[in-house]
This record gives sequence, structure tokens and C-alpha cells, in this order.
Amino acid sequence: MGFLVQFFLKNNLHSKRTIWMAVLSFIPVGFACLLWLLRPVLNREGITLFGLYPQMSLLFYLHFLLPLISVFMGTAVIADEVDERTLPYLLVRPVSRRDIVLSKIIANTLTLGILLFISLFLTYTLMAIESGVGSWGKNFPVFLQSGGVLCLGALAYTPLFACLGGIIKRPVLVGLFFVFGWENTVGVFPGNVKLMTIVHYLHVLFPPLQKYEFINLVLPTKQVSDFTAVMILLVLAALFTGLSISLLYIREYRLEQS
Amino acid sequence: MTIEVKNLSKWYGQVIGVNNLTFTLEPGVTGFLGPNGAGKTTLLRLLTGQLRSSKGTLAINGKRIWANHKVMQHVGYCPEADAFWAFLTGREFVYSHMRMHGFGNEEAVRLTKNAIEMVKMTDAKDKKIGGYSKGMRQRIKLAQAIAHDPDVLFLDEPLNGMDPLGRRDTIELVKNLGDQGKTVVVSSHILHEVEEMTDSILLINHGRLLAEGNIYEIRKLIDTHPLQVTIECDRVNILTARLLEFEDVQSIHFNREKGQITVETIQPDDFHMRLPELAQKLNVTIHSLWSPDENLEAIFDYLVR
Repeated sequence: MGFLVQFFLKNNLHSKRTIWMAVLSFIPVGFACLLWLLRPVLNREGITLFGLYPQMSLLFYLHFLLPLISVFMGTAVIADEVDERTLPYLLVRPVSRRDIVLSKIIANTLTLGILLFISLFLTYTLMAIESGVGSWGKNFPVFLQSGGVLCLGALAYTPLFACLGGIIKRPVLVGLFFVFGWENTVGVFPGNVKLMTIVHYLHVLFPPLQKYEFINLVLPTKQVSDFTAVMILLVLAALFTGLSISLLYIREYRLEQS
Repeated sequence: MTIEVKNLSKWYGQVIGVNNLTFTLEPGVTGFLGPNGAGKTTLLRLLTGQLRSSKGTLAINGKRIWANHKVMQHVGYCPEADAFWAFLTGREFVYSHMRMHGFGNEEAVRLTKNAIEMVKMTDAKDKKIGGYSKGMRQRIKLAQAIAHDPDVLFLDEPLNGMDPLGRRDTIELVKNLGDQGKTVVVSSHILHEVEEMTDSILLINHGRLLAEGNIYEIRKLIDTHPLQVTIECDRVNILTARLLEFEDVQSIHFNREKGQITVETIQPDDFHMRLPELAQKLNVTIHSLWSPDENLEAIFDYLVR
């Protein structure tokens, strides 16, 4: 399975999709550069760059880049091999279907995680270095916490969209509707409906935003403990990975003939 | 290795892909012959475990095929689809398949080298597949199918888009593999191609098995029906002028823009034997040749009437 993961990672490295996703993932870095240039103005208002980091990481990464890129990387797990008609090469090899799907999920999750982690690291560095290297080091756990949550999110979202990509014909549209419709809307509803979103559990684990009360007003309140949130995300990841694997055993993929 | 198929049917909703097929394939080369849409590719996909049968059974050496990756240890498959991971070079493509097959690095390198030599792609092995001609892509697909020395080999239209030299080499290769005791299945919609590789065929149309066995009986019927051959080459005018001198050539349609001619011949075997020699003599490069589908449909309709 190790070779398959490597192979799919290499495939991702050469795909136009990954290049576009990498470009997208650098939007917050660009924004952080802009803030860096504007820091004399911000400082005059009593705002430090690092003070904006939790807000930046929440809005740009958790609510925009993570769901967006995971839709594209997740739906590609099975759908890519079907659309590119390369699935027969994989199926007519002594490799179990479980290993094929699992390797692809691992490779795509890693690609997504690496893209987000690099981008988040650069954003963090730009925003935390303002007060010196000491401050950068002191606040590093905040970066690790937000980066870790994004990785957990990648782990839960990728197999979910892999499953979607294995079931329906145009999974990207449905995926985008899910992340920007359901996930972002339901989270602000009162009551327990928000427990049916992945983003809620990620919020629970994300670094808190105590200073920014307005944003806190529209964010859901914690309804589960950190441990429960981690466990639920891991269970969801395992569940959707299992479903994606079983799809390749249950479903047949009729490829277009040339 | 033996392939056994019993009462095999495959439906896509209301559409029948293959209909109640029963046959046994022994070592040697067998041709699946039928027009496009006859069900050959569906049958090959069933035999390689890509599709699940709606009814009936199929097995390689008594082992079921669907979702049984262990049986694939002995299987090689060259798909019809012109599909690749385009970032790979020809060598990386074959090597990756060998690694997926479970071979370690050194063994995979050795098998890759051998297979690439067998399909005569050594000079182009380090070029990206995206830059290959259709014929080269066919050769490299064939290399990944034979590299691990499988006992059972399924080749779906392996000669499609190959130049005459490539066709000759591939036909020789397939015959050699059959002689070595491999069970080789070749699908094609062109009778003379199959005929050059084997005399054992399964004639398939509309998903049904029309005939099974010796090719010569069917051949006799076909000889009375003209075959169209489209040739894509340079120096079209020179080749056309010489082809018109052949008695078996009934007509030639000329497409100067595409650099193509479509020849109607009543002796396709002789025509195919003469063509490479003539091209060489006239210094004409033939890029590809094929038979238009509608003409083949007509032949099969004629056969099954």
C-alpha cells in the first residue's frame, strides 16, 4: 500500500487541481502580507497583527479553504479514476479494492493537509513575527492547535466527499452546497441541529476568539467537550472511509468506451 | 490456465450487454471478433473483474473473478481506452504497474526493462506518455500487460491505431505468447487481424455468441464481401495512383485535407500483405490504418443474415 500512496501523492503533485488549490490556499498569505504592510495604521488603533490571527485562521482556513479544498480533493478519490478511465489499471492488479481507496484517501488527505499547513504556517509567521522571534515561539502552540484542527477536519471531510464522489455524477456541486450551505448555515441555528455538522466539532477544538465578541455571537456555543469532538471527528472519518471502500466492492463503474 | 464462462449475462438496466454466453478458453490465442458495440469490451470487463455478472458464472482456473484481487496475480490486461496517468514516462508507467503488482524495486526495474524491449519502446521509454503517438501508447499499454509474465492475457483492440510495423510486431508477440502456453484473448472488430494471430475465434454480435471455433469457415463467407480500409499517410497522391492499379481495389475515396484515403478491396488479405511493401517502395509513411465501423457493421450483418 505504501507504493500506492506514493504513486497517488505524485499524481496529485502533477495535477492541475492541486496547483489551483495551492494558489487558492495562498490567498490568506497574501492577505497577511497586506496586513503586514498596513501594520503602522493598525498599531495606531491599538491592534496587533497577531491579535487578528485567530480570526484570520477561523474565517479563511476553517470556514473557507478547508471545506473548499476538501470538496475538490475528496470527490476526486474515486471519481478521478473513473473520469480519467484509469480505474481498470488499478482493478486488474492483485491489489485489494480496500487498499486502492484507502491509499487514495490517505494521499488526498495528506495533500490537503500539507497545502493548508504550509499556508497557515506562513500566515502565522507573518502575523506573529511582528512582536519579535520570542513572541513567534511563545504563540506557536496556538498555531499548532489551529493547524491540528485543520488536519482533523481534512481527515473527516476527505472520506465524506470521497463517498459522495463514488455515488453521484457531479459531486463537486453537491459538495460545495453541503459545505457552504448546510455546514455554514446550520451552525448558527439555535438548538442541537448544529451537532449534525462537522464544522461544529472543529469549532469546539479551535483556538478561542475571546476578544472578538461580534464573531463569537454568530459562532455556535460549545455543546460537547474537546475529547468528544475529537472522537466524533475520528469516528466520522472511519465511517466514511469504510463506506468509500465498500462502494468499490458494491458498485461497478461503467467507463465510457473510446 | 482455463477460463470458464457459463450462462453469462450482463444487463445495463433494460439493455443487454452480453446474453447467455457459455464457453471455455484453453491456453493459446483466442480472438473475440465482432463489430463495435457487439459486447466484446463488456465481456472482457467481466472477465477481468471490472464488472459483475447479472447472471451466470465465470472463473479463471476455477476461481471467481469479481472482487477477487488474488486471481489478478495471473492476469494481464490491455484496455481499449486510451487512458493514462499523463505525468508518467513510458518507463515509469510500466514500473508503477509492476510495483502495484507487488514486485520490489529491483525486480520491477528488471521486468519493466524486459517488457519495454519486447514492445520495442526502448528509445522512447523516458518520454512522457502525453507526447507519445497513438501507436506508441498502444505499445506501452501492451508492455504493462505483459511485463509480469501473466498466464492469462486480455488484449482489447490492441492493434488500434498502430502503424503496419507495430501491427506486425504485436501480432508476432501475441502468437509467441500463445505458443508459450499462455491463455491469450484478443478482441478485435477486424477479421484479418484476428486471423493473423489465431484460427480460434468467438464471433460475437449484439451480446450473443454467433459462432465459436475455426475461423476459416467464416473467412470463406467474408471473402465475397468487399472491405473498406482507411489509410492515413503522407504522399497520398502517389499511394493512390499505385493502389488504383491493383485489380482487387474497387474504389478509392480521397480526403486530401485529412491526408486520408479509403480503399474498397475484395481481397483484404492480399491488400494488407502488399501495402507495407508498397509503402516502403514509394517512400510513403503510413501513420495509421483502420476499417470504418459502418463497413464492418455491414459485413457482420451480412454474416449473420
